[in-house]
Amino acid sequence: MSYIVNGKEVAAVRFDPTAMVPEPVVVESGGVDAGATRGNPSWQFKWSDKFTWLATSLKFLGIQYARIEQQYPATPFVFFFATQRFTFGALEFEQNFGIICLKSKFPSESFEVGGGSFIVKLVILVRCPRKEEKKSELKIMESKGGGTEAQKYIWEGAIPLQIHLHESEVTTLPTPPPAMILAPRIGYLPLLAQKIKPFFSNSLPPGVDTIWFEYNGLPLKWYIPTGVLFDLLCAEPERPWNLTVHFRGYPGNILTPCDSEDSVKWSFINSFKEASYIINGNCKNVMHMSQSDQLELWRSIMDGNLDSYLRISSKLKFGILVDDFSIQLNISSPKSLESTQNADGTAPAKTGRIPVRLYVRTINEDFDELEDAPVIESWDRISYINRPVEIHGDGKCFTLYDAITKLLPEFFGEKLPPKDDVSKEEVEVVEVEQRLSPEETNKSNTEQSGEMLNEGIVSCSVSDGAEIKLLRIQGIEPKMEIPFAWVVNNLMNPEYFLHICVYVKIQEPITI
Amino acid sequence: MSSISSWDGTITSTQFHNAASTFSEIWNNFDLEFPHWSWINCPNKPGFAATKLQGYLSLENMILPRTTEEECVLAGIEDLTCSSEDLFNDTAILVQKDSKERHHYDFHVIYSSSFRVPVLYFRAYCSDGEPLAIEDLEKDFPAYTAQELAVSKWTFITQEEHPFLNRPWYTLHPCGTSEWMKLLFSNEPSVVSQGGVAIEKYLTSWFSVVSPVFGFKIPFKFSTFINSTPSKFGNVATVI
Repeated sequence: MSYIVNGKEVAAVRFDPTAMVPEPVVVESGGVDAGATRGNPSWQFKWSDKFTWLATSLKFLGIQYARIEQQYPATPFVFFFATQRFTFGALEFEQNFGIICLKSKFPSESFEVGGGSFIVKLVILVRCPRKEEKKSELKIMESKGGGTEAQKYIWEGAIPLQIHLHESEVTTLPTPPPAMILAPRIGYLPLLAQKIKPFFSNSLPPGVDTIWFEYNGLPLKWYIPTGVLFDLLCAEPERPWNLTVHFRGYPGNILTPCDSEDSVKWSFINSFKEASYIINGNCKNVMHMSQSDQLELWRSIMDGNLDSYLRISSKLKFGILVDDFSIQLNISSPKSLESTQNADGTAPAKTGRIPVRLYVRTINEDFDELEDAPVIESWDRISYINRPVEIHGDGKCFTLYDAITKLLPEFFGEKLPPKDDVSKEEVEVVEVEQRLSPEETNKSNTEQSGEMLNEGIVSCSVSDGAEIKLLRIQGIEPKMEIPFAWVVNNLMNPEYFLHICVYVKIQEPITI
Repeated sequence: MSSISSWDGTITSTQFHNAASTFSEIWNNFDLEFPHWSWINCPNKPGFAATKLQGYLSLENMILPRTTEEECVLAGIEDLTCSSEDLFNDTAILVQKDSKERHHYDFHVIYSSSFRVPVLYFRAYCSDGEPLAIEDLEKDFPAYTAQELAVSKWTFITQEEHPFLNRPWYTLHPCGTSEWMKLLFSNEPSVVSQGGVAIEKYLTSWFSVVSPVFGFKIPFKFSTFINSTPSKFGNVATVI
């Protein structure tokens, strides 16, 4: 994404704050993005004049900045807030943006982009280069303290929300401004109640609070982690994510009841038990947890405290999935042996069943751009599959592709040769690929395709022309060749379930 | 197939489907004064092609038998609930009360891939279709169920999403099912005499444990019939 400022190029930073596996920061130049207001939503967004939003924006930009800094420690970035003025007939508008760019391309106090003029209001931070150095991107996940790097990203990951009170519950004038908050990816929406309530408490009609949220008229299932809802319902990530909050009129026919934090906690613990049962064949470890451990586990989720979570969950002795691919990697490159073992943390144990929650969003109309994906009006458009993936340790590398073929065989008919499918499907680059040297990546590809050819794939079509458009886990679109074990160990949610969102295009309407 | 000693009390989805078809067939042939079970197919739901099991067992519009003194004694709870019931043992009042408070129950038995056991989902509503909250249901349940509800609010009966209908239904938590199924058969003399746990018997036994939660029992003649019928689909587990 590149911006032209006063005829000069302004290099822009592309960074997804809700993506968990660190994406390489891309500094591009060349090309023109005419719509300044339609830039990359991950770093460009508007905020209201409210101080709260400014504070949130600062925090939001700060998080991104910290990550960029970590990735490119010597690169001089600056981030600033600017106001864009534009006119529409007789009306004048102001829109505020937070922008990150290369310091050398910093556009001074005012600049023009795409027909609008910007006035820089606040420059937040400037980082000067100390020396030219570039960190190697070819590093294998390292475990610092507790948890893998990916786990840390997942636990820190948050989605900026702009929450509006539903108009039917507004009893005061003027309408209360929207609340801006960061919602943790691994969290659940009702847990935000305490933070949100103060924004709207004065406007609410009398009555008892039962909080629920909707997006474009669709009531949001609170027991699905917030990050999963975002990945599933926002084909093109919308930041901030505009949600409507209700404190009255709970839609009990669509949503299971949620009257307190306890509902969320027990939903989490019951999922945790289910995962434990899938992995261990019983859920004694969770059932026999002490009250204080149970409480601490729950607090760690509420506070996003990964270290505390790891301390409790390690006591539960969940079998960790063998990353067979990493073992292969070790044989071919002894150097990486140490770091891979670190990544796994403990000695791998045998486990054949992986807890997976799969959300299949079916779309009938074709669309080229994700932002053109139709709005979901009903949960009937989403098929929810709660089925473990069984892995039989036959020595072959079991990839994400293999897992998806097992879960959704109907979309892997003969007319979609696996090789093409993999290349066509994938949009984003994940760093995993870069961590492996080219030889290894190639090796896995050839091995994989060989395996595919040998085994053959059972055709079990739901309908002609069904096609997987997008697969998203924790905000990223992982390559299908990634070993499934890596995906599970690094991208699962704290309740040991791997949540996978799949967008499927089906030409003819089907009955659900 | 595992032996009864190493069997973990679970069944596969195919075994569930077979058991369900026999169970409903025999149930429906008996004149049990209960509604019939039927297999509901949900074809073409994306993501369900992987298991051949695309449906569930359903019994709808059941009116629960009223809790009787006998059942209270059975559960060892001879308390106020029973005696207050006796106070109103006036037929005229009972009839009136009955028609007013008649609750309809729908039961769905769905196979859980996670727990590898059948799971009971249910909902209840008044004659006018108004759904009932758990507090209303408690009055329908026998005293021991109500007690259990009070003790284990979050781990006994909760509302969960119905896997096929995407709507909140009540469900009995399945995390202990495989264990008590195993227990049920480990001390069962007929298991030895018949050489294993017949698939058909699995569901009957499961239902015989689950149904008392709602205060009704599988009629004895039905259980004995199932037990004496030769298995069509073989055993879940065998005796060595």
